[in-house]
Amino acid sequence: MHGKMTKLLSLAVCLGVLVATSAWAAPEKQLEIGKPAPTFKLPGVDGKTVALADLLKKNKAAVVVFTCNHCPVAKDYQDRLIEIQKDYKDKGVAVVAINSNDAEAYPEDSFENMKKRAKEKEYNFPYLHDESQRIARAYMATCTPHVFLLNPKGTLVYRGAVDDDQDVKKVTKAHLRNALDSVLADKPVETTTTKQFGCTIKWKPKKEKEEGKGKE
Amino acid sequence: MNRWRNAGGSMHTGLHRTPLLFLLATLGVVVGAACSDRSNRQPIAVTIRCADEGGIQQYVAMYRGRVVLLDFWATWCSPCVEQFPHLVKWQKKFGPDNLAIVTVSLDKESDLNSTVVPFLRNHGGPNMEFLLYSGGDHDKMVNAVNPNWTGEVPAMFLYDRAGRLCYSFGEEDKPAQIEKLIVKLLSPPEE
Repeated sequence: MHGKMTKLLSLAVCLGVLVATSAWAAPEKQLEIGKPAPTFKLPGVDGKTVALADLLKKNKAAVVVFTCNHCPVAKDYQDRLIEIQKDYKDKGVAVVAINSNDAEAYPEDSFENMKKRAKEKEYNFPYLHDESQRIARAYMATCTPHVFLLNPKGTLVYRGAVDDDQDVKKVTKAHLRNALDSVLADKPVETTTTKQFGCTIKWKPKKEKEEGKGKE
Repeated sequence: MNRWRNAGGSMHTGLHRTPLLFLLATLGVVVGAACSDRSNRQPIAVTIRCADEGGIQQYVAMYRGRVVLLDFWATWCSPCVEQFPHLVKWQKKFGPDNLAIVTVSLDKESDLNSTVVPFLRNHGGPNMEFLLYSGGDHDKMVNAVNPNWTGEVPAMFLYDRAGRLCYSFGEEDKPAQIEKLIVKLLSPPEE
């Protein structure tokens, strides 16, 4: 009897509602679909600086992917991104990869190692370094890979995962490709957001409370 | 429910594809040779079960009456790996009658024998549940657990004895804070 009472009372501890002090108690603030995505101008591994505005001027869609060298999930998606760029280049799609990880904690993600990786894998898209992490903050990116698809106006039309399975053989929903097809056909994107999947972005140890705006 | 033995001699490691309700099934596929373990810890026998989003929820429900810590991790997730000893410690400290720890690996199934099993043998603990997500729809799985979860790992979810999700934890959350909340949910309410 007492046990039952305790059990009943313990229901009151939680009430089935996520307590506000815990993570994901409320929807995480994420970049909003239909709103302009933050612009950027970042150095690439080939020595050229890439500006989002230029990419948008020349293309019908831009795929901005936060990724990195060290993360096995990101590694598994490299070939898929290369394939996407290959398949969609002539249709006017620009893929751009951005690494924002703290290279001090993860030396594999240093700019020098980015250059090596791009060469080794023959990336057919720019691989940019967001050393200050301001662009990742501005996009509210959380992991690698984390994909943002923009239409030519620079409006966010899709964000989340590349597809539904890290194992390429098991993919059944090619989210990014589907979204790209819609944008190119001037149709609304059906699935505008999916949950991102991968290693967390390795933020630098907190020092200042500077809020990245990601303006050029 | 004592499926745990110290693997002094034979080391059975298995991936179960049996329906979830047959939880007592203990047949597994014997994989690989024993990995060398340089620590003082005795490697444990590991039974890993495949579960889709529904299966994960069933495991949480199965332990109703206990506080449940649902941990999503992967061998490639270094913060997850760093947190793992805390799970083992909590399981030992609070006991299986009070706290159930259900771990869900997000590793690829093809990496199971090469990375997940060796890791769990050496770093897993007794009385913990080891699942591998095999549903193939990360988006659906994340939404089933907590729609507010952005999807990356580490991610832990703490349920009260009634099976209600009370707290979610991400990379920023410190083990001491998580432990405090486990204690809070385990404590009888104040009179």
